[in-house]
Amino acid sequence: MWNYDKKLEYPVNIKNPNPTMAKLVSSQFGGPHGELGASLRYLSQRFAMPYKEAKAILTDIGTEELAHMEIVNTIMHQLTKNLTTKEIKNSSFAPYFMDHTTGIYPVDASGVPFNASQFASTGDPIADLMEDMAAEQKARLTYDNILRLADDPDVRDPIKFLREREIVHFQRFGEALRIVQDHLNSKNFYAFNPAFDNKTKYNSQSTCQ
Amino acid sequence: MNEREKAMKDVQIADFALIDTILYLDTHPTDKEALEQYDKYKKISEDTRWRYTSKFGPLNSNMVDSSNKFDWVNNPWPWEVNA
Repeated sequence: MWNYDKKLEYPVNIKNPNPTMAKLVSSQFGGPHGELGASLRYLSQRFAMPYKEAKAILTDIGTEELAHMEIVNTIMHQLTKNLTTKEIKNSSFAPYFMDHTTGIYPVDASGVPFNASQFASTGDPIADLMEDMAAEQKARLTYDNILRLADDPDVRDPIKFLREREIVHFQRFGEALRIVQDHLNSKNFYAFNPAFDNKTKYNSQSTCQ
Repeated sequence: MNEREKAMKDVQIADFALIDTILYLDTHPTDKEALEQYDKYKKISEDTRWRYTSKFGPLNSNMVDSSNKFDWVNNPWPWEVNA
């Protein structure tokens, strides 16, 4: 189960509203490389993971992604506070406003709602961890793109923190993949699925536990 | 930055050091140096959390001093400016 702390993992204090920037940042909530998909991806995948270190990393990174989702939502919320109707009308935020006002809803930067087909949970630990490393890299490039378009230091500061976390997660998933591959014995050099295929045949017994 | 924000920042710094150490330990569970770091940051985290809570209210719904009222519900919530 989960336990909520009444704090952000990293502070967000945005003084100047900017609806256009809120629209762009929303992609890291509901978009294809966003934090909602990231948390669901890892927290779903862990059930098929046979190895303890990798179960731990999927659980703990999946949990940290929930905290990142909260940071992204906070940035969106603070960027859309105290807007005038004129500011909304003159921005790319206007179509979002039509259905959601200034509430928080998961869409990408072009307004497409969150879709679970944006992430995979294949039941194959190697396929999943390869996907996870790609997902971290894709989230990082999206934060890079936000930093290319954002001038406000109040926005850039938490975005830089989130980008840095993608880099750390990529590293940890790489280590988890190495741990999984180390468990596969010499009879399994084609890397059959260790979560499903015959355990004694394809897994090295000495390291299985 | 007011006194509450400073106390919150101390919690965020300590908790972050702990979170990052935990991720490293997940894939290196026998690393001595990281285990020592875990102990150190855990202590600092606990201290800063209680220091914050004693002055500015609970960080977690299981930290409420129930003698008076349930101050878990109090503002500000984390997404509010200067929270």
